[in-house]
Amino acid sequence: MAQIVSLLRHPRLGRLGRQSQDWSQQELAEFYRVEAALVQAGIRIESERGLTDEGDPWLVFCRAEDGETFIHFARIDGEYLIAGPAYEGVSKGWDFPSLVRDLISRHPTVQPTTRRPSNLFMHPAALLIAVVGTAFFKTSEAKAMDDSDHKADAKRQGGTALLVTTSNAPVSSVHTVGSATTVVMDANQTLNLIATAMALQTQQGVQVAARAAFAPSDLGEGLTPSLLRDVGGTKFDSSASVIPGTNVDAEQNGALVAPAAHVATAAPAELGAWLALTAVLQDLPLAVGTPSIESALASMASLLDTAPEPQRMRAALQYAEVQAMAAQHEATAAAPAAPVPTLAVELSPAALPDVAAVRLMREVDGSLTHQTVVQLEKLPDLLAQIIARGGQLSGVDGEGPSHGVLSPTLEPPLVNEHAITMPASGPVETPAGHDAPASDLPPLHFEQPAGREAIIENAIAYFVANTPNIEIISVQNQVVFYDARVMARPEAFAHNIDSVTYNFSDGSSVSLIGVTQIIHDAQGLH
Amino acid sequence: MYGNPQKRSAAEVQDLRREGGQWLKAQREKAGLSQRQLAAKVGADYYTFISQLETGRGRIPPDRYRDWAEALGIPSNEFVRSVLRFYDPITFDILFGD
Repeated sequence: MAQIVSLLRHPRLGRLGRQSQDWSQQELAEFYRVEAALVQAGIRIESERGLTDEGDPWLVFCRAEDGETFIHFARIDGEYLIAGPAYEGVSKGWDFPSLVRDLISRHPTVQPTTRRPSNLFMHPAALLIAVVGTAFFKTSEAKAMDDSDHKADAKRQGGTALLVTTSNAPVSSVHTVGSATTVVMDANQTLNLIATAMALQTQQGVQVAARAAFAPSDLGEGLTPSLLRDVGGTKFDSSASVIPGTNVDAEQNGALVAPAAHVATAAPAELGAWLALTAVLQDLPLAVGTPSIESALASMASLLDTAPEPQRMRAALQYAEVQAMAAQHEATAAAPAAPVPTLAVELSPAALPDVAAVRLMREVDGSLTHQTVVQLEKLPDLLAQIIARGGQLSGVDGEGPSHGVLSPTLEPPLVNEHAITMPASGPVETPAGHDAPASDLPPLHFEQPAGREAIIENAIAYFVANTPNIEIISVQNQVVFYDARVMARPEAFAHNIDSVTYNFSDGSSVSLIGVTQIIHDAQGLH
Repeated sequence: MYGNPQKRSAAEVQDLRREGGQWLKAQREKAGLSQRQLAAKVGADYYTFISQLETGRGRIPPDRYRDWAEALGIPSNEFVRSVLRFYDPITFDILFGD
């Protein structure tokens, strides 16, 4: 099985009687493990090493894109050294693990913030991954500022506005639209996940990292999305190929416990698990020592399982009798079958409120089953503004044919000349703060052959089918489907955004926000 | 961090850097300096950086060009012209092409 060995340990070699020598095999293995983990996470780096004319070893990590070095490791006269622009100077120490810990302690942005005391820890191997990953991200930002050809970076910058600048509300919890899904990760995947999350938090803050995790698709060629896309794809795909065997073993010999484990096959659910982990990582403290992989995974499971609601996630340490999942990182591909500790995280739709809007969302389309829904405490300002200016249909959850009446809203919409109010069988409802005045326009009536909910369901399905990247936010009883580009590049879509909101009699609502033509076409189905 | 987009492939840039590293090594040896001695003369924080540069990874910070030229016993303008060929081929072509 793949094993993460302890961090670099090298006999201290003093200046007197120094005996310069190359990196040990264990040291090289550790460096290459860092490189492999980051490459697997979608970070395009490469390494190069050499010896000085006195025989002292050095190793640098470089950006594969342009070959620029962003961190330099060396051992000079037996003393370890870490240097790079991200860490503002040179750090030296005779003991490498201590040097890494000291570096992190002097650069607190590398480690996640701790909001509550805990005896949980980070595996030291993850710390080195985080140190290198953070150096990469920090120098990427510096490079982006210098780079005159910064289209991709601008795209990333656009993507970083998002929830952080439009809302102070943190991500409350993560769910799936449909059935519960369990995602299983091995130790390498978990550590990669942690390192990636830490690096993203350092780069963009936990909220943006979380947001990018559940909606990576539109952020294009930028750094974050490719990283996350690979996190959601490559690594978890390998997980999926392994876990079915786990279930079989559990059923056959009863020795392995895999409660309610079924393999996640949909990328959104996998990304949702990523998001869930990211959301609680801000509480993950740093610790010293060399804990085992199992204890690290158990701690992560405990962290998820005991987190305060609504961040609490069902998570457990499991054992899978599989071939080494991380054999791709090892020189020896064929490892004997052995119980491998894994972390199983369950995503559930349970905590979403039982309101008409949520029920309708679940009925829209089977393809949404594993779509993640992120609960926020407050709707991002940008989305709230678009919704306020867009069309409103009220009392849409009655039975029988519906009638549409065009009438203006209190506030003129940006794109729509008129908002839409659909009267129910009872009194016409209007959204709070939008008591529509009597219209001067001639009402436009139309008959619909199907029930109103079915009509709205069709409109949502049309919107989903014709919008490349859908994200779903839930705020209390409000469900918002929106085109990810609206939040990622608001300036590019400022004049081509529209919305329609369906208000239900139980106080819940579904809003669609997207390209004007798509919104209009969806409403054309009414 | 000195960003230096050259609109060339990473492999082309790397080939130039390696060539430049070999040139630097030759100049250092011609000056009779060890890597540690050169590092001290140019104010490098760690002498393994010299080895790194000679391997073709990274580049000399422009604000150190004069120090390097002096340490290697090369006139500054001549030194800059030489390293520019490896580090900034576009600028080099504009200034010294034809």
